[in-house]
Amino acid sequence: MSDLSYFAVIDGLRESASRFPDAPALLGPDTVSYGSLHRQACRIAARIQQAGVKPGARMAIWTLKGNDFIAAIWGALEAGLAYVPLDPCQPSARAAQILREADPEVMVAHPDLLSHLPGALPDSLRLVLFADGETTQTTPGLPVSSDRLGSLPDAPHEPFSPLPDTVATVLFTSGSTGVPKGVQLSYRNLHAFVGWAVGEFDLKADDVIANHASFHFDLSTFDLFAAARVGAAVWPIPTPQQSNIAAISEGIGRYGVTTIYAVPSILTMLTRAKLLGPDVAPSLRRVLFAGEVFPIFDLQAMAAQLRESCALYNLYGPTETNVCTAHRVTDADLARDQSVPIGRPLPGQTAHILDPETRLPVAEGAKGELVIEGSLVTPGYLNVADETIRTSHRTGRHATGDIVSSRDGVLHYHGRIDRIVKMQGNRVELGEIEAAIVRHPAVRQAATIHISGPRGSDLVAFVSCEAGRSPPSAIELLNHLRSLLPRYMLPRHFKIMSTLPLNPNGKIDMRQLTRIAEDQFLRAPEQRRLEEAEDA
Amino acid sequence: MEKKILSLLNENYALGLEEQLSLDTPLLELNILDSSTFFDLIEIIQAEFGVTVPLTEIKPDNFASARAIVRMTNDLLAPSAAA
Repeated sequence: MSDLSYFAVIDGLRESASRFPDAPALLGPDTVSYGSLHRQACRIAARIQQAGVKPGARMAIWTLKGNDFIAAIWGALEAGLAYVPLDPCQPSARAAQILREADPEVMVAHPDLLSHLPGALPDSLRLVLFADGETTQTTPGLPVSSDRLGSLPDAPHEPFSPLPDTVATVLFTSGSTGVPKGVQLSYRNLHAFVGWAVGEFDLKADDVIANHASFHFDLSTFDLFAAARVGAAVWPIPTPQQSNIAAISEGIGRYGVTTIYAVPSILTMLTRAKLLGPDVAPSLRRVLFAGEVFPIFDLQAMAAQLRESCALYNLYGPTETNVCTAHRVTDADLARDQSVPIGRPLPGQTAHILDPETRLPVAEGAKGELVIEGSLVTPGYLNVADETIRTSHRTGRHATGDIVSSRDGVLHYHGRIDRIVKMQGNRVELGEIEAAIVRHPAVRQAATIHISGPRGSDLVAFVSCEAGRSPPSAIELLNHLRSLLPRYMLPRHFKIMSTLPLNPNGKIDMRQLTRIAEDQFLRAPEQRRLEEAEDA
Repeated sequence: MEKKILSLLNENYALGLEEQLSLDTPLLELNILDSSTFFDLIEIIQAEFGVTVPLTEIKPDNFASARAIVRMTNDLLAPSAAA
């Protein structure tokens, strides 16, 4: 290999399995050692190769978060396949959409999830491996060969040696037209991030990482690949426990978690339940957060609860750059009542701040769109022909759509230029929600507005109905949306209008709708109760 | 108790249309309650009924619907009955 400093993430598992075969790789009810995790990855790779699937193909993984999911990821990489992780909590209609886009040749699936898949399996599929041993149900009439993940025999395989441009994974994010789009991450991208993270956080083999993020979420690449690089243990928080803070806290204590990387909403819940102090989380040394702005009052509360020596990092980046800037939170940041900076670009990355109209660099301190250039920028989207998407992302350069400013090289975030928002750390295209709402037979038009205030942010949907149809209730709309969208994309409030207001250009007047939404729905419950008390 | 909890929910988590939440509306599945509003509701219940919701009770099952919240609150009000 020409680039001597290049390190492929799959070699992290191979090296840790040979250096620390008995050390725990995965913690939980069933602890798995590095040696045993690598052996299972090799069995999966052997089965993939027996089925005649060649490197460069894709493997979809649709099962609950846990050891099987992780073994499947490593098995795909061991055989040279890109893994496509699907959110086990999303509606099956959306999973079916992603499967159509992803065209996988191999699929690791939970039988119960697969049995709910509407329509046929993708034509590309040549092998299905069933996850989760105790389930005996199989899909009758499966048109391709299948096996149980838990009962694969040892068999020889050809270990795959990836090049820097080999695609390691495809992560699907929300798409404006209603179809999720697949972001391809190369080994080069993962190497650039993992290499930096291991050094910056000084990760060691005795570290224990709590993996909160689901695997379709780019935060998980840290948990999986930085841990394997150094031989650290990972506690994958199982799907049903991801929103159960008592269970998370119990695991942090029991497994001696040193490092947690999560979205602010989860860290805030742990803080509010007083679960991050040295008494309950004695081994915690690093708290990393990303995915959305951490409201400063919540961040201050968390910092006050944590042991003083605990390092806090704000990591920033859209999936198309993974993490591309980072900032270690200082006491001075916490003393200011404003959001902490997103920090400086990672080594080897250049941040350009461009005027959205002229595309020329802005003056120091002025706001503009952040464009990232460097080895973290992903190779592009799977099957995307749309011109506007292609031009915002060229190899080695990504226009983030985020408005930032720079002071002394430190970047500050100021919001979006388009209609992408973050809900519980997940990227949400407001257009995807609207496309789902108008699929209700009574709905003619829909517009979704994002509002944010003291109690966090909410989605408000404005809906107009087809002539002669009686308006659906909010519960009916929510039930309709529940079969199409993940939970975090469901609007909190609905407002039916006879027609949606238009601006002078004849487009839906989003500004007017934003004003209505803020007037009507942007009030903290405490404030509402206070007003009622005054009235009484 | 049922009426009180439903009115607290309707007051604080109204969907914006004329209808009211019912005892069995799936609050978590429909995202009416989420991680950012969860603790506000716990604080409201604690203040309203003078109970402490212990950490072990802060789990999705207890907040899945108004009926589940009523059951949990009743259990918290009469802890010795079960003993």
